[in-house]
Amino acid sequence: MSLKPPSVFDSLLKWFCAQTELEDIQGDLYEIYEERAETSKRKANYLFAIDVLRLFLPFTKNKKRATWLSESYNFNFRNQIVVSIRYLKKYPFVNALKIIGLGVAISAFLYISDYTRFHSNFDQFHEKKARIYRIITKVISPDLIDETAWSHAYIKELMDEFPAMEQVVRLLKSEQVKHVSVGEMNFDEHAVFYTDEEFAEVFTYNWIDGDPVTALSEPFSVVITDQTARKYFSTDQGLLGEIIRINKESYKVTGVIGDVPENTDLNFDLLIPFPYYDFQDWSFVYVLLHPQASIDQLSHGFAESILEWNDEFTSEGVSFEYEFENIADIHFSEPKLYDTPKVDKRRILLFQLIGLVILLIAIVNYVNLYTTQIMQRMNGINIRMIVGASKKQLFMQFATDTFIYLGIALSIGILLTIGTKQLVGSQTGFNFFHNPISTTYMSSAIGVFFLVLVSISIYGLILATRQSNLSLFETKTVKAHFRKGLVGVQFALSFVMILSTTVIYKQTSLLQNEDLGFDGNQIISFQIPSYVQRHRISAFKKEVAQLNFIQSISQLNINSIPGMDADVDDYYIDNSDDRKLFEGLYVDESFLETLQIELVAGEFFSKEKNHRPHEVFVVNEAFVKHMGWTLDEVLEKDIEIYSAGGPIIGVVKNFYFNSPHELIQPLILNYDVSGGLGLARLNANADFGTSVDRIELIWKDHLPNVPFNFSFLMTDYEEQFKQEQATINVFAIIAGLVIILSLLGMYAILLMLNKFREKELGIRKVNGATQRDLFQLFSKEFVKVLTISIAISIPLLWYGMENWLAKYPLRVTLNPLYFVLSAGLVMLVANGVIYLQAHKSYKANTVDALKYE
Amino acid sequence: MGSKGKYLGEFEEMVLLAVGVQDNQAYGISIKHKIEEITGRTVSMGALHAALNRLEEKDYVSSKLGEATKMRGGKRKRFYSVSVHGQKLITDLMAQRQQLWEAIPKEAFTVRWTSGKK
Repeated sequence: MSLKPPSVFDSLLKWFCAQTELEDIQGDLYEIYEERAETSKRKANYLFAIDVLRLFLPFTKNKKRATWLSESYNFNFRNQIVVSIRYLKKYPFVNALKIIGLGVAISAFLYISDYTRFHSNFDQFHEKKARIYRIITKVISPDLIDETAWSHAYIKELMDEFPAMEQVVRLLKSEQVKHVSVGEMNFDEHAVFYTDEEFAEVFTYNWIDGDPVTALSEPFSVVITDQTARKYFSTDQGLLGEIIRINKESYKVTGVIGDVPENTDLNFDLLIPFPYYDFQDWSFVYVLLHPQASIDQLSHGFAESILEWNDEFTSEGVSFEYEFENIADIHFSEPKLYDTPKVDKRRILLFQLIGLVILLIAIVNYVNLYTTQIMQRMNGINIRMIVGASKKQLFMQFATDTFIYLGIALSIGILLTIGTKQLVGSQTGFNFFHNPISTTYMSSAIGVFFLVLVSISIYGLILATRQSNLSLFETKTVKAHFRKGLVGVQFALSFVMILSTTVIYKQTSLLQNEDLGFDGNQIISFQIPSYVQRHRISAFKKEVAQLNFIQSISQLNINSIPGMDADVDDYYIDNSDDRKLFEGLYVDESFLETLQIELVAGEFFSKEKNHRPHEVFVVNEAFVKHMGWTLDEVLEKDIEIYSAGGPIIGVVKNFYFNSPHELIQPLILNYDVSGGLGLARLNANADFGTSVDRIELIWKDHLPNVPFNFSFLMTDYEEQFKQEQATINVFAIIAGLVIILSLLGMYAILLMLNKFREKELGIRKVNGATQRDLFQLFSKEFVKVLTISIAISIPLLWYGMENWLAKYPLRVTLNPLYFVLSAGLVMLVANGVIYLQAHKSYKANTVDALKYE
Repeated sequence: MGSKGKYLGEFEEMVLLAVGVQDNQAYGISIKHKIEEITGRTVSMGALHAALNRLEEKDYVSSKLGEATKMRGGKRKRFYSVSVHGQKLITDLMAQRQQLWEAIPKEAFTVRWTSGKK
């Protein structure tokens, strides 16, 4: 017969019910179930479950009522909880240690896994992600080899030549800040992206409003995110057809996209279609692979296929290679020109590893302490076994114990995480737990919890029911060595953490303090949107330059500092017909003075010398070196670009608007006053607050309706280095955690030793052992282990650190002193704990130890 | 609540009566149905079995397992019947009730109740 009640509850019934009563109770329940199932099977299932639960819930007040409960149930379940709690209260300190240690480890693990999940899941929400690729272009010329995340826009037009391409979509973040006005409100938007109308064919988003297929097919349409919508209109509903003005042109809202996750490289606020004219040759190019095609088919020979469109470059000795990056890999790949922010995959893996290790250590500690306690309770356990408790019952006992303890530890972990979320978030600059937790994650977490629970309980059972527990008392067995080895590992880890933190700290300080070739103090930077008319800017600059607290003011075409995204252009050097690619900046005559960059040869642009824009050039030292000339030689050379040209009149010292992660490239400074960033250098004793206010007034005078966004250059730098500072902070916290856990581990072992060798120690004391003797006794056990483990980790650590530092052109040297000090610290702390424990052991009442019970 | 001694709880009394009604054919489910039918209140399996066990302990009912049938997944039913002690007890009890009931003056209860469940 097919009508069977839910088997889970049926099994529960069999488990808990006494054999004599089982048959008719079960029979009754079955019969009722059959009756109920005639009307509604679901209700029958539900009521069956309720019936079973009500029969066996452990919290019934009236014990006598439950006469059908089996012995195991009777014996353990409710009593067990009482016993567990009683035990908790009896040894509050040790239990607190156990539980809090585990709780902290769980908390750390939660943070780490959130961080790694965030970074591992960039752009994972696109349905077609397996088929979405980004085209990387490698530009190869004799002077320059650069990988850029951008590719030629005309690849889109070539789509038909490649059947493997189902769709091609370009994406480009507007380099210039857009001035957006909605009604009376004005905004400066930095995240305006251009794209093609087929955007929604490739990328999956939640369109709150608007038709994804047509939203971007008309020019002057705009699609906004729900956040942006709320910013402009206080709502994200019913906005189709609303007008926004972008740089004074009217755009119609044709779509609203909701819930854009933070872990995405496509972080747009507004989307507009590419204008009909080709105004930008390069952009991000995404390809949607045809379902039946493979990426190898496409990439193989791709460069050759589009050779004819590249021929104007190839004749100049410039060639291109192409790579196809799957969207899921972008976040981890090597950074290229114009690329999105990256994260080192190894770092993520490292963090994951650390998280697991911390958790593992905490669990091992827990098990060690737990073992001790079982030993302490052996008397009670033995009696139970004599009276007839079955193995199943003992197992249930340990399971209940562990369940309660783990449960509390878990709660502590979760509460701790919730409580410190703000603090940790601000310290590390990362928004933790922003995304909702998926159900698969939750269920696997719960699965792991029960796995751990069962394993520990089984372990306890085996421990308690073994015939002989003598091995726990031995010090020379493999097991004993294993336990000590574990402690050794923990301390080695502490050593590693302390050392790594020190080295990373030193390296970051070095980078921060490195001479970058310019002086960023006293400088205010502000953005000059491109839609502002030039004469207004000139007037503004002129008036500001005359302020008594301003040393000088300059303008240059870089998007932001820190950042070194210079334009790459074709230059003709020294009357050669070969075009060469170089990075170039456009600056004005006050550039050197404002940034205090040193001139090493020749002269700089100046109005007094009648220099004319585009007719004189200045280069940096790296350029001279690259061309293989001397300083004198270079001053005789000419440069030509875009049919303008002139002599090189000066050479400046290398400067770098970023932390020196890369080698400094050759750079050409062009003379032209245009560009998006203004820098004003204040005099030494100027008051920042009032100075900025004065400048802002002048700004408003000349440039009404243009927002004045300023910042202090050094603060921007600090933002930049906050990332690296954050890494240090995280490492320091983790180092602290690992050390604490190691101490716990050692303490656990010592506790066990104390307990097991109580009688031995008692006898020693009676025979005249001093505290010193006890101390030596204990430390002998551990010193060997500690020394060995630290000795092993030193070469590994050396290798690892060298590896990490090698990728920095500028780096600290690994001083053996660090190693010595760190090791010394660890040993000192270890000895401290041993001393304390020896002291306690010494003070303990010998009589208690030697009493015969 | 079952106390030591010969007093029955209210529910236990109902159960005992219901067992008596079905005389040797009474088992868990049938008793449950009978009580529900008469009183209109739902009876939980737990409460019912608790009451039956207590009654059996006090020796007011006796039980034995029946034959295996195809229904109930082959599980045998346990049939209850009122024991001699039980018979005496319930007779006495009902007599006492009756006595008190008849002693109530007619005028005390002025409201006429319709019989049956509400």
